[in-house]
Amino acid sequence: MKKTTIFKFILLLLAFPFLAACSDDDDEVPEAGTVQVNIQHIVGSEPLQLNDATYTSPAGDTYTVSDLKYYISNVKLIGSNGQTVYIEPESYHLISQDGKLAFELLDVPANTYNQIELSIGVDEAHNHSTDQEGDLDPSNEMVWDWDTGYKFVSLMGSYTGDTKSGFLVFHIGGDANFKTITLDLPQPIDLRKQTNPELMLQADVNEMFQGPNLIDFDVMNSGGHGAGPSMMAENYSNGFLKITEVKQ
Amino acid sequence: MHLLRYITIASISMLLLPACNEPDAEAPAPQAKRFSPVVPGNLATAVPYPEHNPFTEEGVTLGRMLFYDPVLSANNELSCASCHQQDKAFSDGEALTSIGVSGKQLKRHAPALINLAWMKGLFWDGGAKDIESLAFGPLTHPDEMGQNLKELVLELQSQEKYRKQFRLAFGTDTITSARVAQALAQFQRTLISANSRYDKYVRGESGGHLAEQELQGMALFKQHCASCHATDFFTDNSYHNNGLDSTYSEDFEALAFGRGRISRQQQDIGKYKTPTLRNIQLTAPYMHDGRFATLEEVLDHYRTGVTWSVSLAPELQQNGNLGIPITQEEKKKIILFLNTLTDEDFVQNKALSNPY
Repeated sequence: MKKTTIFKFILLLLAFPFLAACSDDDDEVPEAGTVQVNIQHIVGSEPLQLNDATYTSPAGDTYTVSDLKYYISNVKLIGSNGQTVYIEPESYHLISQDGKLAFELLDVPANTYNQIELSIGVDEAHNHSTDQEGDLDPSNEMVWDWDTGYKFVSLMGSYTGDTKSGFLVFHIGGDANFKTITLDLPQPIDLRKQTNPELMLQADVNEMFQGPNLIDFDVMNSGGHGAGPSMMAENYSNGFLKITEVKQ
Repeated sequence: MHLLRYITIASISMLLLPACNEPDAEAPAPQAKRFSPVVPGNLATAVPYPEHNPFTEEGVTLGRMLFYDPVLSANNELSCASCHQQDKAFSDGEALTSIGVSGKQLKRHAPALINLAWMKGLFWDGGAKDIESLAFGPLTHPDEMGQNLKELVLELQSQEKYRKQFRLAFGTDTITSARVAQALAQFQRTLISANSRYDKYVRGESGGHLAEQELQGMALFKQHCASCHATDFFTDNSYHNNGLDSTYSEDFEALAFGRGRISRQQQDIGKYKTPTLRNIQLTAPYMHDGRFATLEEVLDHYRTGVTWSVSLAPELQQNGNLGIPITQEEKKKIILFLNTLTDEDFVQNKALSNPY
C-alpha cells in the first residue's frame, strides 16, 4: 500500500511538467521570435525597374533588365560568439523582382544575432533532381530539363555595348556556382527584446558585373554553366547582397 | 486499481506534450501498398529506386494513367505513349518525329523505354539525372508536349479520378508537378524486359532454345560488340563515339556535341549513351538521330562506315583499322542473335498497356 502511494506521487511529479508546459505566462521572456527579411533590388544607386529604365554597367555599357530571379537558400543566423544558432528548415526562397521580395524566419530562438549566412543557388543535395515542391517546383521555370538542375540566377534584358547590341540572357547554375556568404548586420538583433525585427537586404544588379570580374557585354552577354558564368558567380558572392538596415 | 488510473493520467499528460508544439507540416504517410516489381534473376536482384519515391501499387497505377493520358500535352492530343508505344518496346518507329504540338521535327530519335530503372543518365546524352526529372523535358518542350506545368496541375486537379488516385498514391489530393513526375517514374521503372528467348536460354528455362546460327551469332556478339553492349542489360550505361560523324555542329546550343554538351569536356564531344539492344528488332530506326533504318545498315556502318574523329571509341580503331572486322556471313549471324532479344511478354504485358 505504502509503496503504491509513493509510486503514484512519482507519477504525478513526472506528469506535472508536461501539463504545465502548455500554460501561457505573459511575464516570461519569449522563447522564439520571427525575423522578416525584406529584399530590395537596386542598380547602383537607383531602385530596379523592369523593362522601362536604362542603366549603365560597370564596364560602361547601357542595359535594361526584363527579368531578375534567383534562389536564396540555407539561411542561418549567427550569434555574437560566432556560432550558428538558427538554421531555417526547408530553406529555399525564389526571389523575384516581380514576385517574392520578402520571407520570414520562423521560430528563431530568443538570442542575440550579429550575422546572417545564406547561399545563392540550390545546394548539391537538392540540385540533382527537380521533382520538388514549393519554391523549387519546376513550374517556376527555374530548372533545366535537358541537363537536370536549377538555374540559380536568371537575369535577362538587353544591352547596347561599344561594338554591338542585343539580348542579355544569363542563366547561371551548376554546383560550382553555388555560393555561400556571410553578411554582418549593421546592428545586432536581440529576440529577447525585439519580437519581429526586419532585416533590409539590398541586392545591387551592377554587382553581378564587377568585383572581382568586370563583365563587358560586348564580350559576354549570355551563359549557363562553365567558366563565363563562374565569373559572375564570383561576383554575386562578393558585394551583390548586403544588409543595409535592421528595423525593430 | 487506482495505480492504473494514475498511470493513465501520467501517460495522457505526456501524450499532450506534442500539442504544445507547431503541428507537423509533413503530409500524412501514404497508406499505399509498397511492393517490389518482379525482376528476372539474370538481370538483377531488385529494381533500384530513389529513396524519396518508392514503388507503391497505387503510384504505379497512377503513373500508368498519366503515361497514357493525352491530357498531359498542351493540345490534349499526345500522351507519353504517342512516342513510346508498347508494341514497339516503347519506341515510335520514326527517325525524327514531327507529331509534337508545334509540328516541328525533333532533333533526336525517341528512345525505347526498357529497363530504365538501372540507367544512370537519361536521354541520349545522359543529361537527365533521374526519371523523375526527365519527365519535365518532353512535358514542357515546345516541340514535344508543349505543356505548361501550372496548367497541367490545374487540369489534373479538376478531375475526380486523379484527385482520388493522387490521394491513394501520395496521401493527399493536392497535385503537384513533382508528384506527376514521381508517379510517371514509378510506372516507367516497371518497364522491365528480360523474358526473351535469349533470357530463357541463359536461365535454362523451357522455351530457351537457341539455334546453331544464333549461338554462333552470340559468340560473335560477345567478341565484337559486348564491350559496350555489356552484361544482360546490353549496355554499359556509358557514352561512346561510334564513328557516325567527323564534325560536330555548334548550332542549336551545340546539340550535336552529345555527351560533350552535358559534361562540357572536349573529349566527350560526339559521344552518346550506349542504347540497350533488348527488343532491338522492334525499335528501328537506329542511332540518336534514327539515321539507319535496319539492323543490316547498323552493322554495315560498323563494318565499313566508321569515320574517325578525336573522340572515336578505341574499340572501333584497333590495329590501325576503323570499324569492326566482320564478314557478311558473320553480320547475318549477329542479327539472328539480336533477334532472340525480342521479349514478347514485355510488349504484350497487360500491366504495361493502355488502361483506357
